[in-house]
Amino acid sequence: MKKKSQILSVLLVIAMLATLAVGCNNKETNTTPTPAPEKQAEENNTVEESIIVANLAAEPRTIDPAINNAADGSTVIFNIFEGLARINLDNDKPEEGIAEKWDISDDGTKYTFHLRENLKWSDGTPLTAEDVKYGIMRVLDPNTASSYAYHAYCIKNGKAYYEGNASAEDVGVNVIDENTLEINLEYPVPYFMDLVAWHLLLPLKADVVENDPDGWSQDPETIISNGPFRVKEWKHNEYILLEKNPYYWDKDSVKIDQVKLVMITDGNTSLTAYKTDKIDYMANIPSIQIPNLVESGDAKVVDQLGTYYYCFNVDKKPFDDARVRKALSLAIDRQALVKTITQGKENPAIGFLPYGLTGVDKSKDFRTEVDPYIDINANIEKAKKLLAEAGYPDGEGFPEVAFKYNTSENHKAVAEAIQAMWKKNLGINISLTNQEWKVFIDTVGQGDYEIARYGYFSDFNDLGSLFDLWVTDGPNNYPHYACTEYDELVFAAREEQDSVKRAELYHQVEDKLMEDMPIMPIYYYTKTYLLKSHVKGMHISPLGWEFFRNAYIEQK
Amino acid sequence: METKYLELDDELFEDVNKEEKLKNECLQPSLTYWQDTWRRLKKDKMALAGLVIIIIVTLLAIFGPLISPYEYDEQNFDLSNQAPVLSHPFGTDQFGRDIFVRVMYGARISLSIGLVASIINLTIGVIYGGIAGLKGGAVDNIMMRIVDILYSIPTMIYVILLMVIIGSGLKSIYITLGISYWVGMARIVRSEVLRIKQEEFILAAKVLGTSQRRILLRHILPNAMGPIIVTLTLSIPSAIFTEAFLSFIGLGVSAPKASWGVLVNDSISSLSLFPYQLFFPAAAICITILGFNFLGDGLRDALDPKLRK
Repeated sequence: MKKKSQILSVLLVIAMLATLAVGCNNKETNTTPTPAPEKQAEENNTVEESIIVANLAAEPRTIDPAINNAADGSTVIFNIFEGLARINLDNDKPEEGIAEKWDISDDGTKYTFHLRENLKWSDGTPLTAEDVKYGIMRVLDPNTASSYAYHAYCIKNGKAYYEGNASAEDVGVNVIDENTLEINLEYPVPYFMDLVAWHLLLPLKADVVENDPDGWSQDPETIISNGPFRVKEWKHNEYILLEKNPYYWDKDSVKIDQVKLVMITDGNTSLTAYKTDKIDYMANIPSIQIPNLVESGDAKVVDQLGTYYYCFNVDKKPFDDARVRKALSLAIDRQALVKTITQGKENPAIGFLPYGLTGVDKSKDFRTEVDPYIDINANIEKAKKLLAEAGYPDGEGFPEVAFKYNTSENHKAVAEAIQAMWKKNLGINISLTNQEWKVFIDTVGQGDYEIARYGYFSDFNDLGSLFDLWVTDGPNNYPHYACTEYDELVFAAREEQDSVKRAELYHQVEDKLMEDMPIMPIYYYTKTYLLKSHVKGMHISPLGWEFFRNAYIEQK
Repeated sequence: METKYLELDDELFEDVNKEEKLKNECLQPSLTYWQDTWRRLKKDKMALAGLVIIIIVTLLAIFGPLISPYEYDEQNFDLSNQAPVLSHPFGTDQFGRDIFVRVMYGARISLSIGLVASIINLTIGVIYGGIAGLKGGAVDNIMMRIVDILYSIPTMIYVILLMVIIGSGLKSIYITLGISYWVGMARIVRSEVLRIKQEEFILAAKVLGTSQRRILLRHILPNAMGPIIVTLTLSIPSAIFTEAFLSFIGLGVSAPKASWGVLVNDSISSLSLFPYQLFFPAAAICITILGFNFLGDGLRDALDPKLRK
């Protein structure tokens, strides 16, 4: 009897070990896609449909063009919608989209777009200039609460309308006839075509959107789009299935029949799925696996126009003092961080803007033509001095502050490393809390944090886009940075027509930002991805989006 | 009414002679309940091994981090992901932290959670279930419906609500365990009490006028020790795993502190490259749970009055 029970207890322990393994991988069962039955179904079809399965890594919070402000949502939007212009996949510059040509007035404030003939929505109904106007007006409508509305302030009376000081009729978007749209600007905008090709000012089908302003973008039935693909199926938190849009004007160049965007958040699960040929593309490689995969040539690394940074809530003590913020920034060793922790071949941040944008001198990079603002290694002495000046010698009396990040292994690793550096170099203790992404953006957006991790990709291939973030009361200005001098410099640069002077102004903007340091840049993003060799023509833009428009599968 | 007493004459009694007195005397020195338990436990080698394991793990948890030359949160990027060597017997993690000291530190958190879970089980669970079973009727009905309600609410909901009120950390894990962990035990104890209270020796105790409290604590519970101990030994590992899960979703201990569950979770991503990072904390969990199981098994036999000689 006794022996039996001992054997039993040993068995129990083994069973517990098994539950341990299962319990830790519980995400797998929830999110692993099941492409197997689908593939079978395809084989039964007489005509085999080509499909690319790509891992989007997360469920987009929304794919409503006016509301979306995250890269995963943008990827979906770019593949199902198309604006007046679209992004050229060879050089990432704007090219003709649903407008076949446009005229720009000599002073650069009036754009006349000529739409293609016989444009259609994905449900086959005709698409006119009215629909484009509706999409633009919706962004500016204060009721939509678009966090990107400020991008459209350059449109005549756009800001006044958003703030309730002008009526919809005053906004400078005029429908001339069914195929002609005229947009008047407040001031010449050098990057206006980039803005038009972006994922914000897109045509929308008024009746479906008005019917359900909040829910239309959740249901494939009501997601009526006009891009290369349309949404066929959306199983929330599992996958979005896109199919070729038969009404797309350029449908002949779309070679793939279906694109399945799966949402496998866990990097290891995703990697297993890739290795077992369940997915063709993934970018969320676990950081620990990156060095080996890059070395073996399986993974590719591309630089991105994005910066990984920490926000300080400047409304809260002790971060209302610029010296504290700068001391914290000085105390971290960015070089060691990217080399040992993130391991994605990132460049440590030496200023706010990443590498890859044209500077004052056309042949030079904006980033490298000025001296670095930040040392890539820690400058502990200077950090200690600043902290002492702010009243916290050796971290004495510094309150224990909370650091927030969205749940992810990489963010956690970076946070743990920085936490240790601050403790060791400055004697400051911080506590770490993680939240799910959707909860995280909400709490940080409400200013309910002290330090928070954030990252931002430049919206366009333009110097201004990242600096716009820190304008007073900007919707993504989570640190609540408010500085009139900074605002004035940004506005001056925004309206400057001369590209040399404009770049010079932006250097001044960055000087001011790095002097006040409401945010602490850490490194510049890279994208490390795995792509099956039989998938060709897929484009990964330096701004973080994936385009499947020209993708195809090479037959063996 | 006048009470009439029986008149007893001294002559009716006589002295017991020595021979007869010796016959009735016990041959062994009398032992208390716990002395007897310990005597029987000592004979069970496996149970003793379990006890030794638990003592060693506890000592390491308390004194290990004090003796170790490394701090649990001391990072050294030059030594990241080192395989086990003499200076770092369990190797180092991604940050160059010594895994040995982290495992010992993790034992503090995991064992304290196991301890809290078992104390809650033993006190609240046993007493609650015991009272419900013994009283019966309406009292039992009400008490058990409360248990049903608590049982039907998922633990996650308590945890999230607690998070909102007191924030994350060990404290909220303790409170969560406090709210939910005794429920299973209460049900088991109640059913045992219902069964045992029908037996003759309880009737005898009642007839002798023993108090309800004494009946429960001295007569019923020792007889229900078997199921109680089994539930208890199983609840400790389950509490340790619950903590690991809560920490994983951001509700438990926060970095750089790490319980065993967190250590295991963190190292899963590097399993294919650095398996030792997973192996040591996982082995610590296994050995400890094995220890608890051996001890629990032995205790069950030792506490069972029916197996008493």
